[in-house]
Amino acid sequence: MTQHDARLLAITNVTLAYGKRVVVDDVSLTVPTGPFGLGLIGESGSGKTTIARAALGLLPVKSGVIAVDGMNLARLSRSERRNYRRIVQPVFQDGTEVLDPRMTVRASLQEALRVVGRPAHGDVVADLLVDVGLRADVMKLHPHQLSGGQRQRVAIARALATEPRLLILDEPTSALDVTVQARVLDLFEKLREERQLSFLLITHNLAIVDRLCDEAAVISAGKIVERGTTADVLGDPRHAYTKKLIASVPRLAVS
Amino acid sequence: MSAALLTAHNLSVSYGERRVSFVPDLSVGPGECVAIVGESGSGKTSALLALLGLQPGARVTGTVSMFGSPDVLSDRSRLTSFLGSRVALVSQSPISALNPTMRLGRFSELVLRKHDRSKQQAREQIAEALSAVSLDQDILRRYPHQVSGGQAQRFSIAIALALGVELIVADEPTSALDVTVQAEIVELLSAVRRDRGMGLLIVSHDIALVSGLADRIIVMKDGEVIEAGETHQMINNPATDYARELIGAVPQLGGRTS
Repeated sequence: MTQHDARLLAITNVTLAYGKRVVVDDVSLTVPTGPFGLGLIGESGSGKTTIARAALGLLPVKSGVIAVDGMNLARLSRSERRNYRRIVQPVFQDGTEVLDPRMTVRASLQEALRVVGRPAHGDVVADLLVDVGLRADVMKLHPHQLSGGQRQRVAIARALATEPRLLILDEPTSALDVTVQARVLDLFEKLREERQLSFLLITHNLAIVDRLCDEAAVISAGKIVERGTTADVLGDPRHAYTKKLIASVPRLAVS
Repeated sequence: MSAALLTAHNLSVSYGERRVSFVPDLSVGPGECVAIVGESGSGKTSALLALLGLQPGARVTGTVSMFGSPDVLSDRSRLTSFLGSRVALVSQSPISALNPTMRLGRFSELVLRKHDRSKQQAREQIAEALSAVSLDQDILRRYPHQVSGGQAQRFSIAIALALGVELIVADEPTSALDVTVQAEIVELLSAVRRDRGMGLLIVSHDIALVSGLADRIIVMKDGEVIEAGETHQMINNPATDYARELIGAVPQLGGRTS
């Protein structure tokens, strides 16, 4: 494995709370420069999505520091904020959430390109769509005219429009049919290598962490209970909760 | 072999001119589990609901026999009388199947009293069913919003047990649940089937999940049955490209770790 030393995302001793209720307790995680994937595995209420929200700057930390490329999220200057928005992009469970239903795919992607000062003509939009495995003429359509898988691909194209270095993926395939899910995972794998991307992948699905991530961390009730290389965590789990999670994955009854 | 609890021949569900689901053959016997597997829009849930007469607005044709009654689709009152007494539906979102304004105790008591139990019988049968699904009796004091998804799903299975049904029809019974809870519900369904000879008809998008539970699998796509057969045979040696794709698409552990 290649040596990754640059810390693209550094979450250090972070505690997050909604009001007085602490939901993430003294968590530290790092994601190096890509191509690299860190999987954050947990179930409902574990705090995994709260960490994603904080890393996206949507929730202030109660204590600790979240830094992207050396910039402390709590103290961004104006130009740093612009830079941070370009470097870090989210992909959520359902593409519908990030696409304006009134805008065509072209308009949505152009908006994302303009925000970071990139040229936004038709060719650039077409290239983005082709990159995520869609036909260029999809740009004329509105979100409701797309299937769930196509919408998720458009959401990924929109995230790529800023030429990010880190994608925060929150259950990016959970809403998709299994055959569609397999193709979207192929796409993430391709993009990771081609664009040297880093992923922070938030999921309850161990198998997709196995596919996309070099390292894995398991979170339960707001605390990281186990972390290591994906091979170690999934192949030789130490913590009882990790063992239970692994035992619960439905397996094909192949003989 | 004992008589089937449920059989269907040429079950067709249409809206206007458009046929959304067609199942040529389906049969579930006591202690058997049959799974209908497919992706969004495959027609799997339409078929399931049509079997129970719960597909209002649709034109349903074909022959469905249930518990020895030969043609329940043309005898609606008979079909309705089976619902809750001999067959129960377990849905994907168990919390929304409960009444939000009622404590679970009152809700379950009303359901059982509607099925001709005395107050005393209702209470006893519910208490017994709760322990069968490993739920604490305290849950009866709670409202639906105060229980977890897994608890609500156990509770809806408990109601089916208290009612003494012979067949459970389940629409994606674990899709809304966390993976560890999902495994527990599968274990519970499997125990209910083994210990009580319950028939199970399950609709799911997850072929891996049902492969550990079902005797037979019916694979549907775009409203048609693509392949049907013994689970073991299908998983190890699928006959169609689509079944192969569905099986191949299951995210499995061990790609990197093995």
